[in-house]
Amino acid sequence: MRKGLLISFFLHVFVFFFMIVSVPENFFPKDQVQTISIKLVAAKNVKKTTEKKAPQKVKTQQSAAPKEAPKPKKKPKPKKKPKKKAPTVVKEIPKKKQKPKKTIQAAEKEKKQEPEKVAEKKPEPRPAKLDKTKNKKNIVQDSSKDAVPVEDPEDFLKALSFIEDLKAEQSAMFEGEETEKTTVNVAEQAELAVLKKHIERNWYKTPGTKFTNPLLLRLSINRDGTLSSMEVVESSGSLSLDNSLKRAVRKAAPLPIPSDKYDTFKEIELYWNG
Amino acid sequence: MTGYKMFKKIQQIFVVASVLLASLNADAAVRINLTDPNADPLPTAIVPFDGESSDEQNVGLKIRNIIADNLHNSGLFNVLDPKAHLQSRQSMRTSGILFNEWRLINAQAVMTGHIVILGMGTANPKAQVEFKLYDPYAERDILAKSYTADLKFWRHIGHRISDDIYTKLTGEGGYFTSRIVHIAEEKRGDRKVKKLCVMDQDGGNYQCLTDGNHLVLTPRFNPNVQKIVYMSYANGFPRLYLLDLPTGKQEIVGDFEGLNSSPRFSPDGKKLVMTLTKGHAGNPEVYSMDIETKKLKRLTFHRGIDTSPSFSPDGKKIVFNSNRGGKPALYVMDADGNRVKRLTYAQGRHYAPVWSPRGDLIAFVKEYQGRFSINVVDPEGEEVRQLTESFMDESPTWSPNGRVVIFARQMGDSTKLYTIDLTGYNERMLKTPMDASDPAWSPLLK
Repeated sequence: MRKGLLISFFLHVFVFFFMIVSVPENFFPKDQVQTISIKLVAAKNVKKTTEKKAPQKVKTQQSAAPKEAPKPKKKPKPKKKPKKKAPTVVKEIPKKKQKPKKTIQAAEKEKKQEPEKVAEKKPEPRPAKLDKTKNKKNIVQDSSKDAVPVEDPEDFLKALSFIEDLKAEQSAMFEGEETEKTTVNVAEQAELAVLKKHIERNWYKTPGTKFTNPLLLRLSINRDGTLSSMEVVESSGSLSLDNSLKRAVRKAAPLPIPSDKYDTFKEIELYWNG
Repeated sequence: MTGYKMFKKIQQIFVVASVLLASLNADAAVRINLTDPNADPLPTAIVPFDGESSDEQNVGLKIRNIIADNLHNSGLFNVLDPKAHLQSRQSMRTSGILFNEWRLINAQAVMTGHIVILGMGTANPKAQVEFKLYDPYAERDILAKSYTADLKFWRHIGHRISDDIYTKLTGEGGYFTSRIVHIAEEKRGDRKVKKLCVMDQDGGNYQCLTDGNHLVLTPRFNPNVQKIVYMSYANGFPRLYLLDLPTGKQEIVGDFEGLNSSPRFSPDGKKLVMTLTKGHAGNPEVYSMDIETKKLKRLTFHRGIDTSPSFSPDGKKIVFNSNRGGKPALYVMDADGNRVKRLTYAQGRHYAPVWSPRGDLIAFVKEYQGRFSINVVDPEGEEVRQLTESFMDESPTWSPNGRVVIFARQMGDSTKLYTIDLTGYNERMLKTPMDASDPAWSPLLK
């Protein structure tokens, strides 16, 4: 009996350990990261954070506008700022080779945005910033080397730049999934639900008919959502029930499948068990 | 439990769990569990039958309407209005069926057909009707048939085609080519007389078989719809009579002492089950009788009232009504009277059981707190389901496919026949020229 208790105790410890440590990472890996980042968008919060980090510098910038020449050197730093806010994101980025490129793209976007807003405040500084765009590669390298508090007046904008990063990350993540071909994750559950609803709405099923077995229909879908082929894997035992579901699928086509997740959805099994 | 055993047990659980997890990962295809299909009636287009002459087209339209009404009344089909059909008759003649035009109006199935009347103007013209049923989504025909019959049986052709379409699309047997016998209540001055009448399941071909001079009750068809057994007071006592439909010949089943009531045929048509009070001080017991040899066999032996027997479709069991448990409830026994088992325990009093031709359900009347309802129960007595309720619902009987229950409902001083789907939906009144009660649905006509 004692042995049993001991074993069960250790098993419990093991199971809880497994649940706490490895389950979240395995089953809800990347989506949580995305959700955290959204909180940062509020403009007020952005101000506060920037003030905390470099309150004096911001003031000096406002008082001494002309100090724009040095900015180019410091600009790289803002990119790290967002990374600090969502550190987990940064950790994941290095895993995928595509991401550096995307951060560069994001950097471009930042810079495109910056000039506009700066123009409202101080039209003159523009040329200096345009120069910065040319230094993209350097900027990226710089950013990876050191992290220094931000000085620029464009802090707001750069604080927001992490959104671009996240977008890039997101798409990179999905690309990764395609190759991995994992089971459906939480984001895809929503798309599956849409698909399910869509097929069910189109399926006129006579209520109360008898059938002997669960029905399993396998679909192959083309990239545009149209039907490539359809096969009854397991018949319900009622030909008319099988046919009614086939009719539903034909009626429902083209199926609403997200084009960027084609590999996940190209084979679909429809299951009915009363 | 020793530690080792426990360890084994836990190991087993882990193995099962890991197998389950592995099976989740193994399947590359995404699986969707469909749970909530569209339960709306199936949109169906029934195109009027085309013909060369206007006579043919008229008959074609009438047959089409029979089919459309049958399908519509079943509650399972939404027959599209012909005005909504996009493809014209002309276009159909020249280019055949254009599936796209039918998909546009959401028709899940399309019937088109053609009628030729042979020997028009002669004494006995014949109608040759052919039809095709299409699946506009699969873009092919799924059924094609042709019927030839005397023109005067055009309604029958319509019912036959209705059954074909119904069976093809629902997967269940049809029930449109069938008749309903019932007791019609005709007003003669101040009093009502009861007559034995039959009609098609849609109310067509209405015909009365007795003159109403004697009280008649509980008519039932035999399996080949050639005979009707019923209870009558023709000679002053409640006796059972057998009416041969083709000849109109009537014979008494057996002049047994006391009450003779609630007759029903066995599924093979060779036996009758009934309730007799013969020889046991007015206590009703269930008997079976061989129709050929007139040999009687007593099936129940109890002080309580045993009545209303009904065979299961395989002929192996009989469900009946008895108050042996204190109040009227349903009991099941073998066809030879052995192994009596109580079927229903639910609140209220249960009467008039009738076994579905499909075999999966038994319909009965429940009286509870002064209200009557039609209920169904599975033959194991596990689940009772209520289909209707009113001040007075009685005499349930099944359609030949076991899908629809017809029953009599009393409202005020008039009684009418109602039908309801076994899902509990689609309750509708069946129009009859007179008040009607005690219905019995025939098997499918051959």
